[in-house]
Amino acid sequence: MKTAKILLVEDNEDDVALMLRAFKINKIPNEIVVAKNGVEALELLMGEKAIQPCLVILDLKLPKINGLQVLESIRENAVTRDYPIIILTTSVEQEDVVKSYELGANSYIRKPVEFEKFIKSVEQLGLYWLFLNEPNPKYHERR
Amino acid sequence: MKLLFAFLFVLVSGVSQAANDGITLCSANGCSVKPAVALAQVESASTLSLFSDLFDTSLWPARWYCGTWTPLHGWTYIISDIIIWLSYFAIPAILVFFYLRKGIAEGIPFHKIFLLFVAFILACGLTHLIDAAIFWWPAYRLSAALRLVTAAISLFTVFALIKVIPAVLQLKSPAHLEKLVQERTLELRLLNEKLQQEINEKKKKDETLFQTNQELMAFSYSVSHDLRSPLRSIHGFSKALLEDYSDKLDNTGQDFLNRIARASSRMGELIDDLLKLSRISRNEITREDVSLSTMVEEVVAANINQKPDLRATFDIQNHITVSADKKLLKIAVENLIDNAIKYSSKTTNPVIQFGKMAEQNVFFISDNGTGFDMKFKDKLFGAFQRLHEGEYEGSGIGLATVKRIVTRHSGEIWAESVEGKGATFYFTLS
Repeated sequence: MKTAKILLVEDNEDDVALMLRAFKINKIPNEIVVAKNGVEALELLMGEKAIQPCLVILDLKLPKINGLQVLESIRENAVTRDYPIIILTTSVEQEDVVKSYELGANSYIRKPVEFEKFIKSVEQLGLYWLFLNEPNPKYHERR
Repeated sequence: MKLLFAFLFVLVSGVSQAANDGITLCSANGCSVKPAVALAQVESASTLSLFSDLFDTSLWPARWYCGTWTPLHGWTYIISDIIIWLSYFAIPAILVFFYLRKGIAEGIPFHKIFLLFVAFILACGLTHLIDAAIFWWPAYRLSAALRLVTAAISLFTVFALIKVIPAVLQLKSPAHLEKLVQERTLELRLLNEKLQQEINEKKKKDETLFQTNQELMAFSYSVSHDLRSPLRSIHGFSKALLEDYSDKLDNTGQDFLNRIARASSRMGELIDDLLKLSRISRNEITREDVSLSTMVEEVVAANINQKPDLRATFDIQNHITVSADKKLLKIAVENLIDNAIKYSSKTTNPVIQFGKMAEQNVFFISDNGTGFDMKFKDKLFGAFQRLHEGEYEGSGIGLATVKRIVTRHSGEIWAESVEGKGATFYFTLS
C-alpha cells in the first residue's frame, strides 16, 4: 500500500534529523517531505508539483514566511484548506497558541527537550493522525 | 485683675465712708428735706451697706426741687439724658443683633471684648436714664450703685482693651489679607505645576516600564524558543549516540553521554520553570470566588493518582472560599502541596494539613517532614534557592513562584519550621 506523505516544515536541521529519527524509531512508514522555510512549504503545497500530504507538521518560527502565515495561506486556499495541520514548536506563548487555533490549526504540540519524550510525542502523534484518525476521502492520495 | 478689684474695694469703702460721715449730696444746695428726719435717716444709713434699700428715696428731694431749675435747663438735661439712654440702649441692641447673626455662625474676633462693650454701653445708658428720672424720683441710692457697677465695667473694659492691643495690632487689614491670598495662590499654583510635572515624569517612567516589560516578554519568548532548541539537539543526539554507537563506547564514555543528556534535560526544566515564573509576573490577575478547600482536594487527588507510592494522610478543612485568580492560585497550591509531599516523603507517617487560622484570613499548608532551619527562612522564597540540594529533587523555583503569586494578590507568605519536625507555610490573599 502506498503511504501518503507527511510535510514537515522545519528550518532547524537538528530538529529535522531528530524528527526523522523519531519517525524511524516509531516505525512510521510515511514519506517525509521537508520544507526548510515558509516559502518552500507553500511552493510544495500550492506550486506546480504540489503534493497532497496527509499531515502537515508546522514549526512557527521560520525564515521568510513564518509558520502562522503559512497556516493562514493553507486555510485560505480552496485546495489545501482541509489538510490536518499540527503545530510542533518550542514556544508555548499563549498568544501563539491562541493565534494558531484561531487560524485553524488542528493541534498544538510543544517539542520536549528530552529525546525520550520527543519520541513518545511523535509516536502518539503518528498513531493518532496516521492510524486512528479517519482522513478526508476527497484526497485519494492518502493512505 | 487684682488691681481692678483693689480699686473697686477702695471705691466702695470711700463711698461708704462718705455715707458714714453724714454728707448728703444735696445738703449744700439747701434742699428742702426736713433736717431732723434726714439726720435720723443718715444715722441709720451709716449702718447700711451700699447695695441695700436701693429704692429708698426718703433722704433726698426730687431734683426739680434741689436748687433752682429753669424749665429750659431742666428739660434740656432730662431730654438729653433720655436721648443718650435711648442711643446707649440701641447701640448694644444692634451689636447683640449683629453678634447673634454673624458671631455665632462665623465667629467674631475678640468676641469677649465685643460683649464687654455691649455691657459697658448699656450700663452707661442706664446711668443717664436714672439721672433723668431723678428729677421726679430721687433714687440716689440706686444711682450710686448703678454708677459703681458702670465704673467697674468701664474699668474692666479698659484693662481688657489694653490686654488685647497686641492681638488687635496683629489683625490683618483686607489689603494685607488679599496679598496673603495672592501669595498662597501662587504657592499653590507652583505646587500644582510641580505635581503635574511629577505626574508627567511618572507617566514617562510607566511608559519606559511598559517598554521594558515588552522587551522582557520578547526576551522570555526568545529564551523559550532559542535556548530550548539547542538543548533538544544536545539531548537528542547524545541519546542517539548512546543508542546507535554504544558498542564503540566504553562505560565511561556512555556515562559521560548520560551526564550530558541529564544536564540538558535539567536545564530544559529550569528554563521552563523560569518561563512560568515570568508568565506569572506578566499576566493580569482576575479575581473570582474560589473554593480553596475544593482546589486543595483536587490537587491532592491528582497527586494520589500520579504517585502510587504516596503514603501521606491529608487533613483538609472544608468550606474555605477566597477571592483570587483561579489559575494562579492553582499553581501556588500545587507547589505548596508538592513541597509538603516531597519533604515529608521520608517521614514514617506523613501528615499534610490545610486550613484557615482562627484569627484572620490566614491560610496554611503544613507537613511533618524534614522542615528547615529557621535561619534560612528569608532564603526560602528566592528563585533558585535550595535548602536541600541533592536530597530532594526540584529546581528551586517553586516557592519563588508561590511567593510571586501571593504578592500579585497583595498577600503575604511566610513559613515556620522546626528542623526534622515539619514546616508550615502561611499565606494571605489580599
